[in-house]
Amino acid sequence: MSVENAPVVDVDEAAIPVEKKMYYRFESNDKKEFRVSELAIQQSETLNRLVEAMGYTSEDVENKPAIAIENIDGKTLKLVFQWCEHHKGEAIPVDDGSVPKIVEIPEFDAKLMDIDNGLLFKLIWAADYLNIVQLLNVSCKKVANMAQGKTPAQLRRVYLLPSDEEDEAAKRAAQEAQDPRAREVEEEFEERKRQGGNSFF
Amino acid sequence: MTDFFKNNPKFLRHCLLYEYLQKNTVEEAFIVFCMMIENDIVKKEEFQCYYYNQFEEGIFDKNDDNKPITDILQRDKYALRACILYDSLKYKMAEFGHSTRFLWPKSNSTFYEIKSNPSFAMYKNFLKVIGEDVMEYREFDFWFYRFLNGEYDLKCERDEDKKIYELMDMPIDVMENIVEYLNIVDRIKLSKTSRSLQTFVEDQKLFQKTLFLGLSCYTSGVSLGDIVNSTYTQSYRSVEGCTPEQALLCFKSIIKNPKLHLDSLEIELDVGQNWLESFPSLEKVINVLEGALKFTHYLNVKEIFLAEYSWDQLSKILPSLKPGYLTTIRIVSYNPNEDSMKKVFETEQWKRAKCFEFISGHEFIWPLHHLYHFNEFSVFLETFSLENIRQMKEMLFKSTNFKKCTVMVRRIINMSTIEQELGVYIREYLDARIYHYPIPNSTEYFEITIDYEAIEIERKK
Repeated sequence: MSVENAPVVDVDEAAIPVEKKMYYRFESNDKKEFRVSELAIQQSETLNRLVEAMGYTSEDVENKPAIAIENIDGKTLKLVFQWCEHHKGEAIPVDDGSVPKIVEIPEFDAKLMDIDNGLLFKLIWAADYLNIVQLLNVSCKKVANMAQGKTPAQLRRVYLLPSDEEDEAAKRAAQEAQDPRAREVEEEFEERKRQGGNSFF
Repeated sequence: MTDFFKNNPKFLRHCLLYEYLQKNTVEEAFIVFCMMIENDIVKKEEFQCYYYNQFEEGIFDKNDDNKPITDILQRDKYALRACILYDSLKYKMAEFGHSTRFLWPKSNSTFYEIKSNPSFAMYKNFLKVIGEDVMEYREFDFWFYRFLNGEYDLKCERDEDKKIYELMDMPIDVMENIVEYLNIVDRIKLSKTSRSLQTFVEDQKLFQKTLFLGLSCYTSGVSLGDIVNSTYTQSYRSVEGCTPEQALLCFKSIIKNPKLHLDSLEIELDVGQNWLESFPSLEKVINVLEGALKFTHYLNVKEIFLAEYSWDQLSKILPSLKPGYLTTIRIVSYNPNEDSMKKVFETEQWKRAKCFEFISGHEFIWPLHHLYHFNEFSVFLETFSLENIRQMKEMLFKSTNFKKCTVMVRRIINMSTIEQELGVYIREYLDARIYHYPIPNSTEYFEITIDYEAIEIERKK
């Protein structure tokens, strides 16, 4: 088991009140471990609720197993916690949907998101799952910025969007997987139509 | 990086060939190369030798000169990766402030394209130089960012079976978050990619700064534009110089979107009654404007700006706008129509608006008390009477919403009449006299500034 040190190296001890200096241990689904400050955890509503409910003491953190985050891998989680540590203590934006969101991508975030699309979408998925509002905002904005000025064909390439035909084929495949008889019924229906019958029955 | 190329001279030649295929000159390529990688790794003479004695002769490797030079990169996945690595190193230089035109002299990508989505801009150039079907974008993107983040192992393999998260795999709230940042033009392009995305995109709220419709005898047009925030900087598009019918059709196709939220709807009807008679098609369009704004939903418009010859249109347009969402009414009008404005005063939209601004045109001929529910208003009057100031004291000064107003007057104001009601002025400033009117049971007061042509009133603490 490896311990990822990167997210926790830049801790400003003086800026954090004594009672906030606790660290928690988290483990990704590929067994990478991270130590994250309590203040950084507050950026994630999901993790914050989790640690509050657990009520760990400093001894518990060391003695009990790291808290497992089953569906996020180490590479993604490292980015998530780096972001949380950098933005710890910042206010969490509230979005009531009534006005257009004004989101600027700070330099740190832009650098952090210099990653391929696959990893970027994983980061977004993780931010949504862990409910980290501002990380979700900046990463979604980054994805939106990619669309600017592109043709529909280029957008398909950038976002790997399926065409209508591929979309329908995927739906059919999913349907068939659920109900193997569906294909047979459809073929029978097509055959009857070819023979001139209007009704299936 | 220097060690990497020293240990892999073949990859170095691939990069040189990539430069050659981009039609960059020896000078252009050599300067960039030396800035990226240490000077002594390849001498300029060697560079020239590769360019002129080998590549131009169609030879990549003197020991293996059977392969056509154009196939060298296409058929070797490691050579392709070396080219991506080379582009990622160049991009790093761009991040340090080097001009993109200097780094990619023959590329069609603009600085903005490279900065906003570097891997796609590089990818477009890569395909143009090496071949259209040489690599999928996702693979290029993977290698580009891997190299950019300092991982230079060309021989590692991507795990292609791994679940890759794509836009369409994202939860609905994430998709909504992404689409929210797209302007109207990019949304239309995204909705053209598939039917399912079209349905989704059309269902999302769209905030736009301004929608303008101009109809006149000479030119008509529609424009969508200006910025609400930086997201909308690219959204300026206009259709100008079209016929009134085309303009109205285009306008209707935009405004019909129930998810559209406009900061400002601007309608300019630059026509007088006698002109209209000479332009029947224009008259027809103006007559159907009211119908063009009617849908089963109210239009989400914060501010309506209307410039027209008569005050007729306001009574026709206002009922289509969402009461309460509409905060500001701004108007330019020359021919007062008493009856149509009476209808306006009765509308919920007028009663719940917060601000009325009369920009220019004919005097306001209706009683001023129709404006007293606004937080702010400005208006143009024929004259300002003793009765006006008495009514203001009785009604306007008792309104808790009222913040400020400007009343411009055509005839000269009689200062002594005002003084009867407001008492002695506090001070003078140029031609103006300034009065204070205390608000009972409050530390606030109204500051009233009067000169011969205008009265300004503002709530102050």
